[in-house]
Amino acid sequence: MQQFAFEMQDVSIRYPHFTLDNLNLSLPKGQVMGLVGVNGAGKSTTIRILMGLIKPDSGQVKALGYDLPKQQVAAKYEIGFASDDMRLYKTQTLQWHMDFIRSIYPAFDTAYAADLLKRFDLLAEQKIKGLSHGQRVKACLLLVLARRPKLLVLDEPTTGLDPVAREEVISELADILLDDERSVLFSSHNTHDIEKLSDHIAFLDRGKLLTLQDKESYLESWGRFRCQVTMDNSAHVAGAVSIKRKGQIAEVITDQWTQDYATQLQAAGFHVLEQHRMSLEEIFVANVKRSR
Amino acid sequence: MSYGLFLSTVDKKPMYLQIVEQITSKVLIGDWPADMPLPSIRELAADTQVSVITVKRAYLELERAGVIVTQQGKGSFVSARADLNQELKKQELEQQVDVAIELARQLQLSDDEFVQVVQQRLR
Amino acid sequence: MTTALTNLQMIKRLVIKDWELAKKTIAAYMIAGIFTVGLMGMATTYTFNIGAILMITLLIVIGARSAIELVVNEKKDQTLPFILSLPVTVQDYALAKLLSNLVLYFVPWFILLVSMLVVIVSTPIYNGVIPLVVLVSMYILMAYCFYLGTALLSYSEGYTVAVMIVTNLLLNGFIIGLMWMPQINQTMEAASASWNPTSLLILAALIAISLAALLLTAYLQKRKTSFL
Repeated sequence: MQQFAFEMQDVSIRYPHFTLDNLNLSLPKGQVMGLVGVNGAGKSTTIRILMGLIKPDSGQVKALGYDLPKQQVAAKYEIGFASDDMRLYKTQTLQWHMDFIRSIYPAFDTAYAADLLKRFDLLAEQKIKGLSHGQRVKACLLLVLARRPKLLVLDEPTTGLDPVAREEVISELADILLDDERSVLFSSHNTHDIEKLSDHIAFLDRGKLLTLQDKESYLESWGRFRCQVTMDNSAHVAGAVSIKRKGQIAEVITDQWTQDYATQLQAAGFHVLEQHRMSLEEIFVANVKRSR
Repeated sequence: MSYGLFLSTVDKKPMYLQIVEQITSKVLIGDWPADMPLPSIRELAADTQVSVITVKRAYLELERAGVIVTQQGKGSFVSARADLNQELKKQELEQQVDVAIELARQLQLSDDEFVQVVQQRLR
Repeated sequence: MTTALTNLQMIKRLVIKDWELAKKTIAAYMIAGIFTVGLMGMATTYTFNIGAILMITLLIVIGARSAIELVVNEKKDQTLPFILSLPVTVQDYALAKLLSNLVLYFVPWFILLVSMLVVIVSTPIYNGVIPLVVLVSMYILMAYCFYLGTALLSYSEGYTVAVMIVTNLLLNGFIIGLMWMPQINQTMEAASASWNPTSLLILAALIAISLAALLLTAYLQKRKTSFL
């Protein structure tokens, strides 16, 4: 029994203007990983390597027990992949695409597809060129979801969707959580979606993995404090990611939050006025700023 | 199927805490009676559209607080402890006091001053 | 990679898919082809010449459309990521593309050539023009192999169109050259087709160059590692 949905070990690839550096990334089976990063951070490259579409210069990649890119044919029968730069054939209908996919994957569930069609508010007989961006994204997802892949890899599935369409997509992804055999990797720069659904957070920036952690402890380890600094000190406190000062008020951000971090701050001359948790988005920004 | 939890992402409280509080209040008001089986972690995760790890964490907290009991292989149930109601109300009181203490800190009251405020209110 | 031949099922699916995408246009071209052949069959010098020019145009257009629509547009319209998410390797995909394009061009090309020959033989048109018709058609097929190869290797509209323009400009030179050769022009108005060593040599050379271009394309495709 393999216990990982996928595993990337020491994966590197070098391009003229971009380098993916010694990436180690793995996802336990039955779990959801959110891949976060700014545009150009290497999310798509990572995902393409995982799908066997790009061969890394070095390192090992396994998905569902298959070696990639060598066994990509067998792997792709069980992996579902959709990306925001993926388009369907404009001159054909969604029904044509569903028939095409069904002729390839025996597991394609026609009843589930019909159900998704209704929930995504799509028409099977409509030609792809008449669809809006959101409808096209949903059509792509329908084709992938209806075959119930063991591993779902989604590159920016919610980018450019209106709030209603996004909610429809997220709610279908949430249904996958019911099955403890199915795993999901999805990238997004919408941290909100990732914050809700993922069990693990992977942070990429400039081709480097900044963080790979379970979401709950990750969110918990960050905190923001509004403090009053009485003395004119440029005091520092251990574990601070950033300290911004204006007059007597200072904002301290830490990634090593514990019950008594506030006490530590007091001891270092920061009088804590308020403390807050941080959203993934705020952490994202602070983390990227720190690493650069 | 819906379990009637209403989670908000703009709430300052973490997601798992919202689940803990809402399940606790369902138990407190008796909507979820003693021995009632809880939805499985994955069911609740799919229903509320939050990650499995978050629900798992909430269930652990609920177990620690004695609101639910988990039996290996059978799932989780609402605790049948006779004094559960009492206990939960006590916990809620403690939480309210914590909020008051937080406010006092923001007002930069010393602990003695805070106790004085409480004593005044008690009279 | 050895998987190229083990994944025949998917290669077949991809070829069928390209046929489904292209069949309506191909049908339209075939109707135009029938009209053109009919024009040639009216057997006056005037209609034959017009028909011949139309036919040359048609053969070129079918090839150009096939290379642009089925190869270059797959990348431009971003359907390539969709196809590569299916259980295929990039090599399977490339092979399927090569096959489907060859079939989808070669079959209409062959039908049109044969119907031209049938018309020539069955009407008072001098059968002596047959070598010229075959050689020009073969040249167009060779040119197609060139820009198909360019399209499959570069996925670039610019390069593909450039090769199209160059090969089609050279077509004029090729026809003028043929007409100028005594071995060709002296037998044009004969009652029967006369193949001589010169015309056969040119035909063999055209076929050899076409095959070489296809083999080179297949070889270079196999060496590509990244497609997206």
